[in-house]
Amino acid sequence: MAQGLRYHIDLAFCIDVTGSMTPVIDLVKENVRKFPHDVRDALAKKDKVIDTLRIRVIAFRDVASDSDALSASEFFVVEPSTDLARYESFVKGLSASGGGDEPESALEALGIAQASDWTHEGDKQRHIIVMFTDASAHKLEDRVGEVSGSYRDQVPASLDELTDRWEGGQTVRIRKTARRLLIFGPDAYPWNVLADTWGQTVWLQSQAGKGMEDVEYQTILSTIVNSV
Amino acid sequence: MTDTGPQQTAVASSHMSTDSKFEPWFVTEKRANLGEDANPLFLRGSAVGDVLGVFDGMGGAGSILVPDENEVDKCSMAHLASEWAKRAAASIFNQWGKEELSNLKTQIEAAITEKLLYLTTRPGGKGPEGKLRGTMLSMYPTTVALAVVRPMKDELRQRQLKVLWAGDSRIYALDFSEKIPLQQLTRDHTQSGDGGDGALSRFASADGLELEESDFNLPPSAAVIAMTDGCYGYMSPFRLLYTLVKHLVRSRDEEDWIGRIKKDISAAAGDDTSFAISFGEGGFEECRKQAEKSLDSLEQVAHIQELSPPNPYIVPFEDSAYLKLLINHETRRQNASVGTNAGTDIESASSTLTLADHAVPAPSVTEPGSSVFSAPSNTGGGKEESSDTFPKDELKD
Repeated sequence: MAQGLRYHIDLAFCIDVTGSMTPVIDLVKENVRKFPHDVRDALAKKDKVIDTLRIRVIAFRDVASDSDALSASEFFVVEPSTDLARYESFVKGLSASGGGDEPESALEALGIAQASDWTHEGDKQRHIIVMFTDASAHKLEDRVGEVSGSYRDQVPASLDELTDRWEGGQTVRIRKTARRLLIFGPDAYPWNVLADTWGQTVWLQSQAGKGMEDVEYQTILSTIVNSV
Repeated sequence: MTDTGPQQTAVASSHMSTDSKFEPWFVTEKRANLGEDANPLFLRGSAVGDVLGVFDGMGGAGSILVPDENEVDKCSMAHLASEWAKRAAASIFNQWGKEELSNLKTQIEAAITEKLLYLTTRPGGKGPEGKLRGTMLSMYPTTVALAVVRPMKDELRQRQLKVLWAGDSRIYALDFSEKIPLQQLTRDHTQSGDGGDGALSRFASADGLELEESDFNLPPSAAVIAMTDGCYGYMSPFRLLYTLVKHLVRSRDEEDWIGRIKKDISAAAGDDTSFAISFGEGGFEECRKQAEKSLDSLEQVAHIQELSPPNPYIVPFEDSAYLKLLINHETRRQNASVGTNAGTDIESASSTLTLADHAVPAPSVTEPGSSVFSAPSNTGGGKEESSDTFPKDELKD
């Protein structure tokens, strides 16, 4: 057993819960629900023990057409399993509806995820954002709708600002050495841009109407585990 | 790359050369048969000289699954990359004669890139075509750290050392004429340059390779060590040094020593490990004799850390006494051109570095060494300035 190193991993799942996700939302929810268990097991096989794994969920629709376009949980401590039941309950409560036509408000969700209260505890941290969507995203610059209440301050006004944050801007707690962005999204703006321009990013291309196959889930899992 | 079963660190350490001489290296795997460190490259007394090389496939960037070597099963790109990079480097060294090493760097860069590029051309060699992309991913990424040691025909019986590397695998000198005998000779290609947890800025992949290169003149008895981050990343620099020295003194012979340090290092590591050493004049026995002088002073402080909770940290390259010599060598060269005496600089640099500068208490009995270590050149990578301040207990991130 490796001695001494304490791994602290924070994960923010950004989940598209618009109507078009209806055929696949249950599968996404199931993957998200079982993720803590799978990541712990996979790391244990590498002789790495997680000290703390926290997960939050940011569900998004479309600020242009939905009043409840953004909904973010706190971080749930799932390893140790302090908040596991609450986490599973939150995930279970997600349902797909609304959203109107493409695009959706995924970049707003990404902004909220970036602004998370990322851990700086332990010897090694990972700050991982995982995006699940089947759609393109509104440009932040277009301001297609009002970001409500407490999220307003967390959403940048432009992609440039969002990018600056990701690349080491000091306005958020995300650490450059710890950050990872995994995108499960279609070949559309902004995913095909972020995959080539943002550091420490992996884009697994999704197909409209198709959920995540097991091999794709395993790829996301192994990418996270191998980067710890 | 072999294993000794599940739930324990898999260990490989075959080390018999074709002439049945023990070869001092080891490799261990955290997951049986899925290790990403290649068996070290180890050539002794070849035409080119003694050669050490370690290669650490990058599991995060190289996590894409591809057909394995036999195209029967799947493995990660990282798993294949390190082994194939090693083979490429070996092929260059095996062809090399006694000629100068001046274009060794470019030849190794080309050979490794060619091999890794070949891997992408196999059916399925790029992974699930078009489905995975991103700045975090690379095609067959691996670190490389190589050392070539050749005798020099001078009165000091020095040896020429060429170091080539990309990534965070390291080359060290084990030189008991230095107050801190384990001297890091390579600067990690991370944002901070001192190990750390961030992305590597240089490594080998199918997209190419740019090695950094340094040249040194080694004192006769100094050993050269190559190791991957699994060896140095999970114990303090002091603990690593103490582990090497303690077992040097207590081991029956070279083979026993390798077995002991492999056990201790792999037990501490949360990663695959690989390690190889080329001893200086007098071989293992001379090295052990010199180590005996250091062990007393190390033992005086070893228990202090034993009482503390494990608190691994990484020594910054900037704290290497050898780097100070390298910097002062440059300073001397520059000062010489304006007529100042730089020999004093070198002596003071050496004598001001004590273990007290590190995050461990200083042994009181070791006198500053008057090293004959010198550094003819460095092609990039050495820092312009060094800091005398060690960031105590600060973990890499």
